[in-house]
Amino acid sequence: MKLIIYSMIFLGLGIGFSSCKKKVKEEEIPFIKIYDDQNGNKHFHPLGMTTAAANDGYIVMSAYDGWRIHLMKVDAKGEFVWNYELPENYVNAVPNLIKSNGANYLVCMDAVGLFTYVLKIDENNQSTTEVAAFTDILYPTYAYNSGQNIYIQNYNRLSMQTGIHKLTLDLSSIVQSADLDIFTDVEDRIVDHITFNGKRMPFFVSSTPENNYIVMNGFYNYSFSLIFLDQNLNFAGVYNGAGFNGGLAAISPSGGNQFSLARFSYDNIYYNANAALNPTTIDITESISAQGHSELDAQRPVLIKELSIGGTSYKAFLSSTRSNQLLLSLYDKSSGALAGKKYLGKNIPVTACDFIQTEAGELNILIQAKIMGSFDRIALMKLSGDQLEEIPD
Amino acid sequence: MMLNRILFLSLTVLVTFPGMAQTKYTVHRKNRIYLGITGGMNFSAAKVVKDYSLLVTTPQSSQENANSEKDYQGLFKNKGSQFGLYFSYSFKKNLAIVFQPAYQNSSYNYRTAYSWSDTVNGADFALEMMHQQKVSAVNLPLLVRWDFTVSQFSPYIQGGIYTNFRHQAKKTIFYDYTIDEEVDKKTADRTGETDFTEHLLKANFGLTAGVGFTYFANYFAISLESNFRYGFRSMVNDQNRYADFTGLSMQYLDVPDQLKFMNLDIQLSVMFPIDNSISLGILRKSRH
Repeated sequence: MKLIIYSMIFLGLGIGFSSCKKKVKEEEIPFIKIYDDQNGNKHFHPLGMTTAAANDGYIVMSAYDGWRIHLMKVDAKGEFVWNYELPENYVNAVPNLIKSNGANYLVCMDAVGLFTYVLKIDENNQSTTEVAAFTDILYPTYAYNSGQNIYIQNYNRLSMQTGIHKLTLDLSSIVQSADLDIFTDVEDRIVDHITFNGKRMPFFVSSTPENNYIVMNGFYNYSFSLIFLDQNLNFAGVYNGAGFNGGLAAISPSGGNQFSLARFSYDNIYYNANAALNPTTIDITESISAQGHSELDAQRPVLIKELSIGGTSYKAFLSSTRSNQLLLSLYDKSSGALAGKKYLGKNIPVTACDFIQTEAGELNILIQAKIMGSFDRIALMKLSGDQLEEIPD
Repeated sequence: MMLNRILFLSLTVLVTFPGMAQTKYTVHRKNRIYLGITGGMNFSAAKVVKDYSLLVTTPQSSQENANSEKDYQGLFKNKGSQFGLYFSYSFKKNLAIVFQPAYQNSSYNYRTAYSWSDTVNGADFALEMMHQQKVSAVNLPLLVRWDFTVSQFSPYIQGGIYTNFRHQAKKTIFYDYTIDEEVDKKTADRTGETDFTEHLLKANFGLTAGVGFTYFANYFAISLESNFRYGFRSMVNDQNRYADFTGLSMQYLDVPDQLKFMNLDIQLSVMFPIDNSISLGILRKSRH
C-alpha cells in the first residue's frame, strides 16, 4: 500500500513540476526569421531597419540585384506583413531610413541621372511617394537625422568633392550645403560601393550630443577620412585614413570629446569604446589608440549603438567574424571597459546589417543570411531581455 | 524484428494456454501484491498545436516553400521500445491499482521540402528532408485495472494518469535533392545525430488507457497488453525554439512546431505474487 501512496505522491510532484513553469508571452520569445524569395539569382543586402510609423512592427530596407531597392514590413514577432520592390529608376538607397514627423523616409538615387530622391514610405498603400528630387546632389551616400536637422552626404563626380547638405525636417528642401575636396577621382570606388561589387565604404554622418559638431566619414584629401564640421558646415578638423585602405568603420559620440569607435586598417578592425578625439585637429586615424580584433571581418559592417540593459547603459558593437558569425560586444559606457560579448549564429554565413532595441528591452538584429550555401536573404534575429542580461560578466 | 517475434510467440502461448489447462482454477488475487518486469514496443504520433517556420514565406516564395507546414508521419511509422517494472495491488478480487515505471524510447518523424528557381534551365535547387527525432523518457503511469474474470485467463481494461520525465532527445536529418514526398533513409544523405534535449520540456502528464489479458500460473502471471497515452502538456520549450541547440536550424531551415504527443504501446509483462504466507500458491480449485 505504501508503494501506491509513494507512487501517487511522485505522480503529483511530476504533474506539478510540469505545470508550474513561468508562462512567457509569445512576443517576448527570441526568434530567427529568414524571409524567402524563390528567385535563386536574387541576392539581398539588408541596409537598415526602423520602427513602423504606427509602431506596429518594423520597416526593413534592402538592396537586391546590386542597387535595386526592396522594402518590407514585418510585425513585432517578425512575421511578414508586406513587401515592395521600388521601380527601376529608384536605385542605391543609402543605408539608413530616416524618421521625421512620425513618417519614414528613404534617400536614393536616379538610375540614369545619378541624382538624389527623397521618398516617403506609404505603409497604407505599401509603396512610396516622391517627396523631393535634388538634381544637384549626385551619388548620395548617407542620410542622417540629428533631431534638429536632416543631412545628406554625397559624392559629386563632376567636382570630385564630398558634399554635405542640411535639409528641412520634411526633407523637401536644402537649407545649407558644403563641399570637401578629395582631389582625386573616386567614382570607381563609389560605383563598387553602390552595386555591392567590392568593398562597401562605411560612410556615415553623425553629430555630437551637444550638437556642436557634425561628425562625418567620407572621402577627403586623397583618403577616407573622419571629418568634423561645425553647425554651419564649416570644416573644423579631420582624422585622415590610410589612403583608402584605412579609416573609421563606425562611430557613436558619447558626449564632450569622447567617442566609441571602430576603425579599420587594411584587413583588420580595431575597437575603442571610449576614445578622446579632438574635433579641431588634423591627424591620422592610425594614431587613434584602439584594440585589435583579429577575428573580425573588416570587409563587413561594424555597428555601434547605445543599449540599456537592466538599467545600465552600454556601448554595443556589432560586427561579423571571419568565421561568419556575429559578435555582439558590450562596453561600459563610462569606462569603456569590455563588459561581455556574445557570438550569434552558426553553421550558415551571417552578416550584421543593423540593430534596434525595442521598448521592452529586446534587441532586433537585421542580418544577411546565406541559406543553402547559396542564397543571400534578409533575416531578423531577436534577442530577449533575459538573453541580453546574461551577456555582461 | 526480434521484439515482434517475441511478442507474437508470447501472444500464441497466452492464447493457447487456457485450452491446454486440464483443471479449472479461480485466481485468488485480493490483497495480493504483484511485482514484475515489462517490456515491449510502441508507436508515437505528434499532434501539431501550432506550426512554426524559420523560413518566412512571402508572395515571392515558390509553391513548395509557401506550403511550409511539416508533413508528420503516421502513428505506425514512428516505432520505439520500452522496458520497466510492474507493481500492482489488488484491493478487490478483480480490481487492482497498477504502477508501471518504464524507460521509453519513442520517435516522431516529419518531412519538409524547399526549392528555389534559377534563370538557367535545369539549375533549380530543391531539398527534401526527413527529420527524425528520438525521445527517451521515464514514464510513470498509475492505473486502475478491472479484470473481467477471476479465472486463470483473465482479460482486463485499465485506465489512469501518467507523468513522464524527459531524459534525452536526439535529432537526425535525412535529405535528398528531389521533391517526391519520399526520403529513403537508406540512400539519402544524412546529418550526424545531434542533441535535441533542450528543445523539449522536462516533464509532461496526461491520461492513459489500455486493454490486455493475463494468464495466471501458480507462481507467476504473464500479461500482454496495449496502452494508449495522450500528453496534455505541449512538449516543445517555446523559449528555446530558435536557440538551435542542434546546430541544424539555420542550415536546414528547421524549427520545432509546438506539439502534443501520443503513444500506443504493446508490451509483455511477467509478474510474481509477493506474499508473506508460507505458500505462494494463488490458485484455488473451482467449485463449479
